Amino acid sequence: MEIQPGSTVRDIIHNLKIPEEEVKIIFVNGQSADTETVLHDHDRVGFFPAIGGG
Amino acid sequence: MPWKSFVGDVVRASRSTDQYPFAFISGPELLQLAREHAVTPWQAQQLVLEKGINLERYLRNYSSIDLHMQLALARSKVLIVGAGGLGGYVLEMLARLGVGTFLAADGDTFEESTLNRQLLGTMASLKKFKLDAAMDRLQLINPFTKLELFPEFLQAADLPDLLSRVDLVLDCLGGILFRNTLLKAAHEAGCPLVTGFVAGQTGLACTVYPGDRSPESFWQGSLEQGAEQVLGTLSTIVGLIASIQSHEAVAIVTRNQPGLRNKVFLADLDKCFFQTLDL
Repeated sequence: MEIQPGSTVRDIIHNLKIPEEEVKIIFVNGQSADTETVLHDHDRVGFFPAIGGG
Repeated sequence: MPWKSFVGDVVRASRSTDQYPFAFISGPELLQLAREHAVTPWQAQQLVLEKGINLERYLRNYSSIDLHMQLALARSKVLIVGAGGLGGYVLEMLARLGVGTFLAADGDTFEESTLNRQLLGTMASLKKFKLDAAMDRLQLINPFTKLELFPEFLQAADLPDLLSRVDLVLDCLGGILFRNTLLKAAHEAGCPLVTGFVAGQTGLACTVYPGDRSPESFWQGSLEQGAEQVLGTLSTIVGLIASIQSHEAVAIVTRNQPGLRNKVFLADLDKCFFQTLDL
């Protein structure tokens, strides 16, 4: 997806209209990150809800 | 020393081939000798391996698990918390690999809605305690193991004693609620924990030693917030994540070198996407 320069993970979460409290853990390029992490070109972002099935 | 004559009989009953650098004995013969010498099968397995004789049932383990490692597995004690989806497969795989002692806790019974993924759940075990099915299964596949049952939903107060008795704990819980309690107790007990958690077609696995980074953030919130409540769970992802957990357990017991410390393995079978993420 296209984003403005300087956008953070939180901006993406808002753009995707995901309730922020449902995002429990965030990875950027395979590294643990948070909502304040600033994104760059070609970053790969993953956010996860709570998961606990077994 | 009654074991001395037992070991002598085992040596006489064992066989060798050019293919393996050790002798081996068949399971039924070993069980028979153990009975004759009043040795338990669990003891018999260790005495045999200590003597440098393998069990025929482990021959295909050998290129990856040598005799010393096989003995380490036979001596190992693991706690499995949850005998549902993940726990059923983990028990199956670790018993076949040769883990000697299991402590297993689960207060639940099998319902029809668990038959889509839980190995121990069958038409015959519906409405019965999961741990009774676990005991039956273990006797069928590997009688050289010991299984101690805790047919209850564990409370935080139960954990220190159980964790002090094992080499590692496998978190095979269903739902997010008790996972952080178990993680904290394992940390305090100095016990390595191997966790697996799944939802839909996605699953994750991670090994946590005391002081490591952990995946606890995945387990925040109320029970209803767990994605599995909406997405359900497929048997395919359960089996895959249970495999990863079982292999981590073997790596801990045999060489203290698991691959998923401070990392979490992620699999999405829908996209055939696999990645190991840094915590």
